[in-house]
Amino acid sequence: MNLLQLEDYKEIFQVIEDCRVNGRFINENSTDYKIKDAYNFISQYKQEVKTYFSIIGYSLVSQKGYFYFIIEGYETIPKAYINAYIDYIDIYRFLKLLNTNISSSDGGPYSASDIESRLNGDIELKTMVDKMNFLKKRSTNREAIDSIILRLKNDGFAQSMGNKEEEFLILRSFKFIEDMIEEIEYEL
Amino acid sequence: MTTNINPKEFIKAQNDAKEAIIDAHFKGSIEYMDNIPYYNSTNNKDLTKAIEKLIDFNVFDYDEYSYSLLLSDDYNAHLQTYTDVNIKDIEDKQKIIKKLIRDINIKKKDNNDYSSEIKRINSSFRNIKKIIYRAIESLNEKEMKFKAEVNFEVKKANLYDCKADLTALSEAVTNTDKFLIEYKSYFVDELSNESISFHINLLAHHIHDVRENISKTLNELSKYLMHIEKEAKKIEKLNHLYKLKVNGELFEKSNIESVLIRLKSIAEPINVKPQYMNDLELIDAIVNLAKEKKVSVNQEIKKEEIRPESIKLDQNKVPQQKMILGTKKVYSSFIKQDRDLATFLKQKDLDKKQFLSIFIRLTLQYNKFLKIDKAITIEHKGIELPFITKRG
Repeated sequence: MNLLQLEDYKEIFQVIEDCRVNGRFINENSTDYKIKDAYNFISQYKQEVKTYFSIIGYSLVSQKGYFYFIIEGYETIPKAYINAYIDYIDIYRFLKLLNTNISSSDGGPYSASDIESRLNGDIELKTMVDKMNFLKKRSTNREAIDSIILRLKNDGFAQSMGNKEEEFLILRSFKFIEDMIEEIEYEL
Repeated sequence: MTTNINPKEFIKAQNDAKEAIIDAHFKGSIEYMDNIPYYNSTNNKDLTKAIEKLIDFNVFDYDEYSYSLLLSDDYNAHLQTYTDVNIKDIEDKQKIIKKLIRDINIKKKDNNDYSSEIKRINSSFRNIKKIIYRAIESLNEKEMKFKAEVNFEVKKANLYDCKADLTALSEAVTNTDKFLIEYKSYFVDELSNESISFHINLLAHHIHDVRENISKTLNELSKYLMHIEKEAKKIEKLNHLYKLKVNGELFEKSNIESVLIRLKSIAEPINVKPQYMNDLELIDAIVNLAKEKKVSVNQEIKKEEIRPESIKLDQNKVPQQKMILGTKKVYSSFIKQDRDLATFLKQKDLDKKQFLSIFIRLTLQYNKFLKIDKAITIEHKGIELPFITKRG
């Protein structure tokens, strides 16, 4: 990349910078075209972007289908964040039993109404959702579903389909959660 | 394995065919040869659909050798509410053929006519072909259903069911193939009956065509089954982790803590947001963290240091040098003077990477307040840089 071309890449760089500052994933299957452009840009200039951000202490991590930044030098993670990821045992379990096809590799789209109908007719799933105390207060099945989807969206693992709030995509970054569960070992 | 035939559809097909035949008769489109109606598909297009439907329902049995429509042996079975497509029927048909062979041999000895046995053998061969075809059709339907099924338990059960049917079909097809090889010489050489030879060939070709597909599907199904079993293990693991979590034993009985530390990258992007509101705070925080933890420069920087064109950094001084990277600070001093950005930064004691970093970051962050002239270039440490000055 020639620095004289900086002007041309200004907007994309600003998107990447925004993702870095706000801790967002840069997903290949994002519905936001700006994020998609940023993904393609990083794929093309991976080394340059990596070097650039390494100067300020950030490492660009490249995974299949998504990128993200980490700060070098952290040794421990605050308890709040550990708890945030432990919640995903419940969420991932719920999603798997709801639809085995839901994964980072098969992003959907999935419909909130379809999930709601499943929930209406499946006591096991309903009980699972009822026990998710970390979700905000909800009185109906639809509110519970919306709450789970919102959590996924806020943590960068799902995204709405353009104007269709009803439909959502599971982003490639959901592989983070899948990998985390995969790595856990336990005593029987 | 069963395929349900809707009785309403079946009755409708019979009535439609009856009407179509009467209609064709009065239209005179059905020809008669020796007082036997001769069905010609080109002259009886309306009739064709109705008859094909009845062939589907196994009311008629079309003999491709004599080009004649016969009433199916299984017609009576179709008068029931539903009919089973049973793979075991293939074995039964083989038993019937074996019995008919015995009858033919007896009749042959007594010089009696055995044409009715031949007709029944041909019909059995046609039925075997039909059962195989239907079983494949039914399996395809099942396969589509279980792939679309979202409920894991139902999906798993359907999958095992489907695999059992497919394995049974595969075995039945192999057995039929063996059966044909075993009796081919009897029918072709000993009996020398052309119609039976025709039917044997037809069935052998059909088996040849479907065998490869069946083994391919069975292979795919086995792979899919492995995938489903993997998914089952995942769910089992999630259920167990959930149980540990509910019992408050997650940290005690699993390695989740060390996994989270190893995967700290998961948490960190979310960490950033509340802690660092802007770049200046971020840089200060990183530098302080580096000082506190005595963190050395990361690998990327180390690699850069050995480049000949770079100014070699003293690792211990890195945190102090990073202080100068505060974009806001640099910008505040830049706008207080009149030189272009590259010339201005040249005055600072920066290595190549630091120089580029601050140059790019400042340009991006404050581009609204800067004027870029691409026609003029400034050279610094072998890099060509645009001429950037403050606006106004």
